[in-house]
Amino acid sequence: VSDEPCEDVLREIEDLVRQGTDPLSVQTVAVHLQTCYPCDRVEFERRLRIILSVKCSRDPVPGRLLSRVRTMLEETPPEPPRTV
Amino acid sequence: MSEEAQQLQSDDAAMKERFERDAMPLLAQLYSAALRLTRNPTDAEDLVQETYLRAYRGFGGFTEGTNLKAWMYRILTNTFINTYRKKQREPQTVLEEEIPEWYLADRLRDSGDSASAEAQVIERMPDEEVKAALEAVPENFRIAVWLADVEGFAYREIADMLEIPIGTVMSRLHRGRRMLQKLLWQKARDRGLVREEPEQRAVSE
Repeated sequence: VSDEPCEDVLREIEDLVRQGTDPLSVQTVAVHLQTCYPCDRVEFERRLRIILSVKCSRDPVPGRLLSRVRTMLEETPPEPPRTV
Repeated sequence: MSEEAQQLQSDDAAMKERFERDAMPLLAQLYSAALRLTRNPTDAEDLVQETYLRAYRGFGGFTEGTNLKAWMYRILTNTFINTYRKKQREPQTVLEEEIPEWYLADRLRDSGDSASAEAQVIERMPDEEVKAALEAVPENFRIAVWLADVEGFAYREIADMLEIPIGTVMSRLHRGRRMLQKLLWQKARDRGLVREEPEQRAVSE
């Protein structure tokens, strides 16, 4: 079991996420995750959410949809008569 | 034209300009969202168009400076629930079996150094497969997972959007995530990206 206490490693993970890549921390985190299963599970689900959000949100928009919406905006009359 | 009428007309023009500037950039995101909800391109396009129409008509009631994305998503989700869901009549098949917590992590960990390193298995799956897995999650659960994990809304925001208690959001999310994990695991296994579960091997031998 690695000597790093979980909370320190989890903090490093957060820092990594914010800052990008420090090779030393990347190594520390990877070693910890191999031996500390509770952290590994949490980190796995975090990564899974990122993968999910990337993979499920890039669908090519049909060109006609943009023109349909624009046309609709052009043709929609202003707000119904207001009660002033 | 009276001065008052002229004023109203220029207010309308300003509002239209503001709507185009702020709401149109959300179109691609909303279209993806609509696809996840309706699961077919024709309905998704109609849903997006209807959402923009309702948003534009109600734009006078939107407070500038508050979260426009959340506001548009609320309209999209409600329009879907009130119109398309009725039309689609999706059979509400619920996976009643209890899927254990950490379902996917537990299985992937067996095939590598750590579950987090094995997240790359899912990353390597084609987008279409992952989308199909999400779309196979029953609707109420799918909406919760989509809003929280794909769109990144907070539980509170989701509760407000769907007009349900926050506890319901959390339990749907919890169950929905595990359903999704099981579907992802099945797809990864079908593609030969992971080894079979040991107990399944034992059965087939």
